[in-house]
Amino acid sequence: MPRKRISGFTLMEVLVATSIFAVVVVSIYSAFHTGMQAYRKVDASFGIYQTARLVFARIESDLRNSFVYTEDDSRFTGTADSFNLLSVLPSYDNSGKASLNICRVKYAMQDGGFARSLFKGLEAFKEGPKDEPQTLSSSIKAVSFEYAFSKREFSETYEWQDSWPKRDEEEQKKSLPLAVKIKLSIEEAAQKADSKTKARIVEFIRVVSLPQESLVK
Amino acid sequence: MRSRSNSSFSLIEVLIAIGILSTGIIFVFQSFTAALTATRLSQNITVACFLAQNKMWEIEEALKQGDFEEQGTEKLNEREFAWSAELDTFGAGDLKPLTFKVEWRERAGQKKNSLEFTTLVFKGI
Repeated sequence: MPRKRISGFTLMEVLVATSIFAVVVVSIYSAFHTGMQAYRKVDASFGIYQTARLVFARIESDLRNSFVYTEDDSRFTGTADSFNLLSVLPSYDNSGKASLNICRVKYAMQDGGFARSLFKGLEAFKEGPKDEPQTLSSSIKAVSFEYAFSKREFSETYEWQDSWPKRDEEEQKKSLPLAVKIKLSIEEAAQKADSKTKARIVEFIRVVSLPQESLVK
Repeated sequence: MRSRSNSSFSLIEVLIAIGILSTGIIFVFQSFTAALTATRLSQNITVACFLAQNKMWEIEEALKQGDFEEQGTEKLNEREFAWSAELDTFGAGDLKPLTFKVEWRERAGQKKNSLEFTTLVFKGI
């Protein structure tokens, strides 16, 4: 009876169908898998560039709004791994109205990573009030700052130094550095927790110039 | 009653279908590669912008003394960035246009990329 032959698949047919199905499923799976891997890779490597841009923008805005406090003390102090400055920052009340405030801003490496501390109002002028650092990024592994100094004489060009003010330099205490060079070493987030590959560290350098003209008399 | 050959797919049909599917998947894979390349490009653009901002400040400072470096190379994150600067000294006023160009190579040195920036710098005397 021919009916019996039509009603089922032969072993060969089933094997061929299964292997074709397997080929299709494996290729679709590998496409998704590669897609996920590519996404993780891009996300991890892009994260460091995002961090760099964000942190530079933050520091830049503070440095560009800095000012000299009094004629004999600019209140800008800096070392190779941290700096303090007075800056003007906007703050917002409950109705969303903005006002400008004088704040002391401190950038330094803290336990949780690279952090910014803000001292508002009178705290800005006190020595050592309680520090409440706000971590900017925990993936920043190292920072280094340099300060440009120029004697402002026509033939003199600027020089980079690793602290501000340099010892025994009264003139530097009175003024702001010409510019601050910021070096950030940012570590790429691990793609897998147990990854044995060494984390990639990318270094970024940015030079930010500071307002100077008020000093010229 | 329909004949048997019409009621299901033949092997040839299935193989053609798989062929079409794999062509599609190849394009999907290519899109990942393209995304990675685009990421690399945009990262290099970020680095090139930082370099340009830093160098343009240096040039503006150097101009106060008179002369400035017109070209150089910088190795940033294992990639060479070549830069050149050109100051247009013609025209009235103390502000002169400065054109700054950064060039680098991608994809094992095969593809050349460049960025150009123009700004006005103070050129007294």
